[in-house]
Amino acid sequence: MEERTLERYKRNISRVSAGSLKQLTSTGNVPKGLEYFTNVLKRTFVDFEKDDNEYIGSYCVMVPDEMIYAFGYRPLRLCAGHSVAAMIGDEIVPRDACPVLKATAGFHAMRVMPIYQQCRLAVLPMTCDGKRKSAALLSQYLPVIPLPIEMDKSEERFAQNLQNMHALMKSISKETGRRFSNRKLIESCKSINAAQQEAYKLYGLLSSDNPPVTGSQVMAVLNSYCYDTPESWAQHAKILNAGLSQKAAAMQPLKRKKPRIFIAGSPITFPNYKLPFLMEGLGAQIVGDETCMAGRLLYDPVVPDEYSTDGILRALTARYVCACTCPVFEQTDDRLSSLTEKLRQTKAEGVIYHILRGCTPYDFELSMVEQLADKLDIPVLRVETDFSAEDAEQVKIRLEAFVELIEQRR
Amino acid sequence: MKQRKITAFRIMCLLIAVVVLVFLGSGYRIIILLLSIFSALVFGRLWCGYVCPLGFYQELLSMLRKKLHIPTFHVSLKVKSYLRPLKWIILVYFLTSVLFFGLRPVMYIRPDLSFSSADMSIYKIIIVGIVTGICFLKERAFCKYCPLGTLRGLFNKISFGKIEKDGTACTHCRACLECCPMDIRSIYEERNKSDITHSDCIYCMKCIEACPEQDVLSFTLFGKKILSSKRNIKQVK
Repeated sequence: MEERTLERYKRNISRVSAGSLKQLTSTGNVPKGLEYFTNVLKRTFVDFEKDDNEYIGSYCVMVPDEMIYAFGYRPLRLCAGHSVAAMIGDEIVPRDACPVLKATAGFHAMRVMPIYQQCRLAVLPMTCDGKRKSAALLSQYLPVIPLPIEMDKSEERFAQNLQNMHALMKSISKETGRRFSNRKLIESCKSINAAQQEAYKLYGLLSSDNPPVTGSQVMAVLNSYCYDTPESWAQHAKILNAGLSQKAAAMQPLKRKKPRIFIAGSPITFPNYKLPFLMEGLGAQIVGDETCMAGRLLYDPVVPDEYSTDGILRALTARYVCACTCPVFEQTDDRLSSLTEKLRQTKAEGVIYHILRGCTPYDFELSMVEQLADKLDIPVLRVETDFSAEDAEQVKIRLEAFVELIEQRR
Repeated sequence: MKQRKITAFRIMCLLIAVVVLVFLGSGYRIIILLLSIFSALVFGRLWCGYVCPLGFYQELLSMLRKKLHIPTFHVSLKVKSYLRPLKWIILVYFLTSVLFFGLRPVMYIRPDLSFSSADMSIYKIIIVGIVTGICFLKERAFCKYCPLGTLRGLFNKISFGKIEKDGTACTHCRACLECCPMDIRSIYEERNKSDITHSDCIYCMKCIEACPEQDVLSFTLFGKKILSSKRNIKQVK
């Protein structure tokens, strides 16, 4: 790519990311302690800071971070949500592929983000068709280890998934030449668990009756976990949670309650917070989400029965595959029942079903989610969009009507 | 990580039971037998989890194994289906020997009884060694085929202690099944029934300890909720 073009792309990436960050912190209520997390994102997406860490890239929530730490590398979630990168990726992946793949391929092709350059290799779970096919595409840029995931959650397939995890461990070891350390694995399990506990509290605060934090802020905080160490993330999340709890206790109940919206569907990744920003601009409160880059990212804990390598790998497989509610799995009841439970817990009044253009697995399950929401008497709005800001006004009109509908129903 | 308060309590119970049985066992045999029968009728296999000295021996072995980070072995589904009738065969064998021949075959396989009896033959030591080895590698391996346990298990369904599950709130994270010493699959798979007490269940409550979802798994005694699962949000040391 030409130097000048590259410079321009770089500038645009910075600009778009900085814009999202600014919008996160521009609202009147910026919680104490949020700055750390926005700084993590700023370091990565605006300043393109280099560090001397070695990363192993991973996609989806099915690659255990614990395992990557056990090899002494740092995991880096490569699933991107950047509109500029998606534009570049448009030339690499097919037009109808989802923008996450486009953005990811774009980032790899552009070579502007230092953290993408620092990746020793990438682990790509074979989840949806897009991910499956992009393994070959991405192997032009860095070594890729495909991780087969069985799409059936039965007992027999669990054994297969466990074997795949063992094989992944061997592949990483072979590729990097490093030995796997059980001690590091246990340590990382504990530190990630501590981070999950803080994340759990944060989910709780967001779904409380009068949340002291906005949904987009929580999404950004959770997203920043992908670019930080769990220890430092947990430490700052603790400060954030303490501040938020204090704030929640001091807050006066609102006279007119904000419409409570739950976001379901395709992942919303920084800096693509178009949908939450629009919702919040319309006076709605996002009370939770089930996307894999925020609501599900740190939800299920790893509970090993024993700390032998095999015991932990079993627990990792259980947590990362069995508990995953990605729509690529054959069984839909896990997703539907966890959605029911989350809608009940968050007392949501409306569901925004976000679909990234090209993300068919989520689109397939829409009718089932609609049926479920019908039973629970909660309206659902399907919004199909991508990372670009072009359709913001059209989406806004639909969201406006939806918010009005919720207020009318009260 | 999860705190294991219930397990700590249970190990204490087992320890006390062993001490009591060792010192008073010979004198009050009838009372212990009556207590055992009574508890089986009312609480099913609760005895296995909280009193049985062999259970305690196996727990100690498992604790040692876990300390040493030695992985347990997992039997494949196919082998499991072949092994399923074994516990009934053993039960029938046990009952016929006791009722018709006046023998106590369990004496020879149970390490705790073998140790306490005076005559230690080579044959006995080998059998005890094999049983100990299996129990070391697989948590509560003996309990899966224990004839007394199978008998008590028949009363689990009518027991007053029940393990209950709120299926809709379950996220299928498999934590319960992974820690279950008796490998009861229905606890993980069941979504529709609320009473999931299985005839193999020894009420060790490990599943309730492991479950990260609020009130999904609970233990009720006489219809009153005694224990329920919760997300442990205490700071890890």
